[in-house]
Amino acid sequence: MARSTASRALACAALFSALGAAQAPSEGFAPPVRLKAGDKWLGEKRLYPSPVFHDVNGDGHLDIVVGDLPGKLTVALRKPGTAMAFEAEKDLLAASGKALKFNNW
Amino acid sequence: MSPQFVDHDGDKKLDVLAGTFDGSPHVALAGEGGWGEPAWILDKEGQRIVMNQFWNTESKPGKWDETKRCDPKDHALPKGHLTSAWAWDWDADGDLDLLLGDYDGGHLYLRRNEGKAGADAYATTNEVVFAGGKPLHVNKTSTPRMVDFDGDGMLDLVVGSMGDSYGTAAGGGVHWFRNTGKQGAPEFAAGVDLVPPSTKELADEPTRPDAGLYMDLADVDGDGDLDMVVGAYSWSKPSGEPKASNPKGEPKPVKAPFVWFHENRTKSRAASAPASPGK
Repeated sequence: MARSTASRALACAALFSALGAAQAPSEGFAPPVRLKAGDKWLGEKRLYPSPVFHDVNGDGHLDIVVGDLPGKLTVALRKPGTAMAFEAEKDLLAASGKALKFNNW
Repeated sequence: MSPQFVDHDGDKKLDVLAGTFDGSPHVALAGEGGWGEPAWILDKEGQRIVMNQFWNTESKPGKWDETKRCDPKDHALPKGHLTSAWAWDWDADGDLDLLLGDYDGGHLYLRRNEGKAGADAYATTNEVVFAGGKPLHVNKTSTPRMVDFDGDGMLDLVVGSMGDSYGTAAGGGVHWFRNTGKQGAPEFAAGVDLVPPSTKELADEPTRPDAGLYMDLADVDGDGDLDMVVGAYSWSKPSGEPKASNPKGEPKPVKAPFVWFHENRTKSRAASAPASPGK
C-alpha cells in the first residue's frame, strides 16, 4: 500500500532564487518558479499537465512524472547532483516497450 | 489525469492509477516486466465506476452519456463527472478505497472497497465527502491528494481546482482540508487556500499557475515540510513584435501550460499549516 513519497535531501535554495518568480501562494510557500526539463519548460505544450513526484529510476531522488488530458505519461529525471534540475522529458514506457497510455474518450 | 503510484493489487509493486476524462478510474498493474495496459477499475458487480456523466464506449459510435446508477443514496449531487482518482484506505480496514474527483460539479466522492486486500469489491454507489459540515466543494475538482500536511499524524486532504480554463473568470487554486477525525473515520474541516484562486493578472511573463491546477506534494529538499509541484495553464500578456496581423505589436493575452515548483519554507509540517477552522 506504500506510495513513493520518500524525502530526499537536496540543496535547492540557490537555484530557486536564481530562477526568479512572482506571487507567493501562502505564507509558507516561496513564490512559484517554472521548472525546466532539458532546455524546454516542463509540461510545455501539454494539455492540462498533471505532475507527480516519483523516483522512476531508483536513484534515490524524486523525479517528476507528468500526465495529461489525452492520457500520455512522460518522465523528467532529476539530473544527478543537482537540485530541481531535470533532464528532457521522455515517455514513460509500459512492459510492451511502448509508451504507457491511459484511455480517454 | 493526475497519476498515482500505488500498490493497488497488494503484490508489493507500484501500479499507476488515474482517473481520466472518460469518467472512470483506471489502473496499469505492474508486473515483472513493467506496467501492463491500463484498464478500468470495476465495482463488485463488474460495472464501470462512474458519476452522472461518462463517455459511453458501448455505444457505437461512442457518446457522452448520463446515469444515476452510481448516485449516492443520500445527498445526491448534480452534474458529477469523474476525471481524477486517488486510492487510500479510508476506513482503515486493510484495503484501498477510492477518492473520486468531480470535475463538473466540483465535489469529491468516496467509492468504498467492501472487499479485502488483494480481493477488491468496490461498492456500486458513491458517497459524498464532506468538509466543514457541507459537501466538499471547489471550483471544478482537478485532483485530490492525501498527505499529512500539518504533521499531526493524520492524513489530510489537499485538493486542486481547475477554475475557468478558458475565459476571464476566476482561475483555480490548491486547497487544504484538515483531517479532524480519527484513524478509520476521517472528518475534514473547511478548506484553507494553499494557493489562492487565481485572478489571472496579466504580466509580461507568466507568474503563477492560473487554471487547471494539478498538484502533488513531497518533501523534496529534506527539510521536514511538504513542497509542492503544480501543473497548470498560466496567463500572461507579453509585449508583441509588430507583424502584419498586429502592426503595432500590441500586447495580447496568451495562456500556456507549465509545471511550477512551490518550495515550502516553513521547515516543519506543523509550521506549514495556515489557520484552519478545524484547529
